[in-house]
Amino acid sequence: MRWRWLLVLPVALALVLVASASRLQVFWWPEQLHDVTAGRQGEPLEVSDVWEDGDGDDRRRDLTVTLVEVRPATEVEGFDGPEPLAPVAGSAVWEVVLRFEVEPEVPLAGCNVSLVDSRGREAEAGGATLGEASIPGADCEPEGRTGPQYDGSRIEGDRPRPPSYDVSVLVVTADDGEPDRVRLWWEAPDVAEISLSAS
Amino acid sequence: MPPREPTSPVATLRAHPWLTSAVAGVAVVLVVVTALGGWARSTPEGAVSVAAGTPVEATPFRIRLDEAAATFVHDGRDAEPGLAFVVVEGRLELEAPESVGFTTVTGAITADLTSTYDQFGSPTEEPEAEVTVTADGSTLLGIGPGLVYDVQVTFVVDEASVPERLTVTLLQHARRASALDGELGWFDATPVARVALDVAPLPATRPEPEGF
Amino acid sequence: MATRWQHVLGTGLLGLGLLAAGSWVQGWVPDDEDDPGAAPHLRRGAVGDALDLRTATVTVDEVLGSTRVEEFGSELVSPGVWVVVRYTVVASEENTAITFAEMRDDEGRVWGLEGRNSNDCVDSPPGLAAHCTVYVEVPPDALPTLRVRLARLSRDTRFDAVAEVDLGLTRADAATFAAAPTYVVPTATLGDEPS
Repeated sequence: MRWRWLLVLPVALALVLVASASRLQVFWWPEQLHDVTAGRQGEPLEVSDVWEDGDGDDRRRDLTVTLVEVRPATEVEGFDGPEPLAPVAGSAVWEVVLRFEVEPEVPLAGCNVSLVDSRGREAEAGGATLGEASIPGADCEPEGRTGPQYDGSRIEGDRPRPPSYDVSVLVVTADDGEPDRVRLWWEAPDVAEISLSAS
Repeated sequence: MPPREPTSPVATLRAHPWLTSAVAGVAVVLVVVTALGGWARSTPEGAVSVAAGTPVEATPFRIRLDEAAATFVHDGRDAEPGLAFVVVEGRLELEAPESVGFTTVTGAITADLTSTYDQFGSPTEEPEAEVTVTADGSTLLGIGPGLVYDVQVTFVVDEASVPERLTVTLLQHARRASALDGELGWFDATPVARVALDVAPLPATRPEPEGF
Repeated sequence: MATRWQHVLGTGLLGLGLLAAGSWVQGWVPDDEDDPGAAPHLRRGAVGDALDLRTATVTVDEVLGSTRVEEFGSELVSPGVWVVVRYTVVASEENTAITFAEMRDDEGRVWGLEGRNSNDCVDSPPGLAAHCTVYVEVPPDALPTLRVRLARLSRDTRFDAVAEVDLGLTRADAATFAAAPTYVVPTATLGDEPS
């Protein structure tokens, strides 16, 4: 009769594994981008994004974003205005044009944009130096026209943001990839994924 | 009555079993403890006074301090108005097999200075040493094994309280796991040596700062 | 028949004996520093080998040395010798940089990024090479057995893939390095060609 207790053993082991996986659920899963709002190039995508304010409360922002185009970038902002981008062997620089339709008082600072290619490799738009050029990081607000920051303050000298505008985000990738989709996010786990239309 | 027979030692022992075992037990403990060296001091002696120029083992470092001077200019930097530098020349070496960081280096050296400041001119409770490499003036924010550096240990003090004689205390650390995260590190700095140095006095006048 | 006090004595001696044995065994038990389960997975290779670290491929391109290096306009003079390792990182899936670097010799000495040692690397977008440099000062007697370890995350290498490259230096290199001019550390770059 005693050997029947052995049947409890696999159950106990399974419970142990599940219980110790709580670390994954508490610490790792919330940091992954798993809440996807999917869209297609050219179609306005309504994104509802949750963000945490300074007091730890959840706030919601609603915006409509349209992926206008992803094209090879030809120039970048230099000290004295736009400069042509000199090609660097092995690399490609893409200009991701996004159209935003959002209330001017909605905070949009600190966005992240990445380009996923057909092989599933994800290149993120971050400030980088490529050859002689300095590629800026992702900015979802037009130059000089910003909405409020997350603590309610505003950037000095900037005018209010228009309710509808286009921005270009530059992404550096390897030269052997075909862009397949654009990902846009602020805080995990919400992310907008827009697939490029086949060219 | 027949005369009692003299009691043998064994019989005496047998007659008092508890006392015998207690004595035997204590004897065994004494022998074992002595054999394993348990009578050595568990706490280190207090800091000893050493003369300038004597190498000191301040685990994990070996430090030798040679001379001290007060100055207005150090490594091309001018002291803030009202402040001066006290610079101690010496030699620093790491005896442990793995690199140590900034906190361990600065935690090994302190001095008996009053009214001290940090590098940025803010007053500090405890004197904060800045360790720089003599050869190039770079700050030693950590040190690796096997390398012997000629260093300058600099303190920032009030110009008026520059002493004539300086006692630098060298501290040793113990290697143990951090109570916070279990990582091994060097903790529990305790004084192990005191070096008394004459401080060469400040020049009579503060030099003009370099023009812009 | 053993009497009661003999039982007690026997128990006491046994207890003492077990204590002694336990203390002796304690010295053999792994201490907090050992966490064999979490040990990093070393990918060993030589200069020029492309080592797969799961999230990126790392290749050590070149090993140089000098007693003086220059970065950001200031010169650093070493009482030992500066070992400069130029390497290439190509990320596989996401932007990745190498931030962990360490040099080790066969005597068990470890030189990390503490002190004046420095690793200069930038994020490599997947498929695009980043050319990075790490420089570490070591005593000349460490050169013949010196290896470099490179990995993605400087604060935690447990369970991670770590590249270990034998730098292939010899005692003769110590003399060459001592006589070499100041090495100006290049900034990290992206692209097929290193700067």
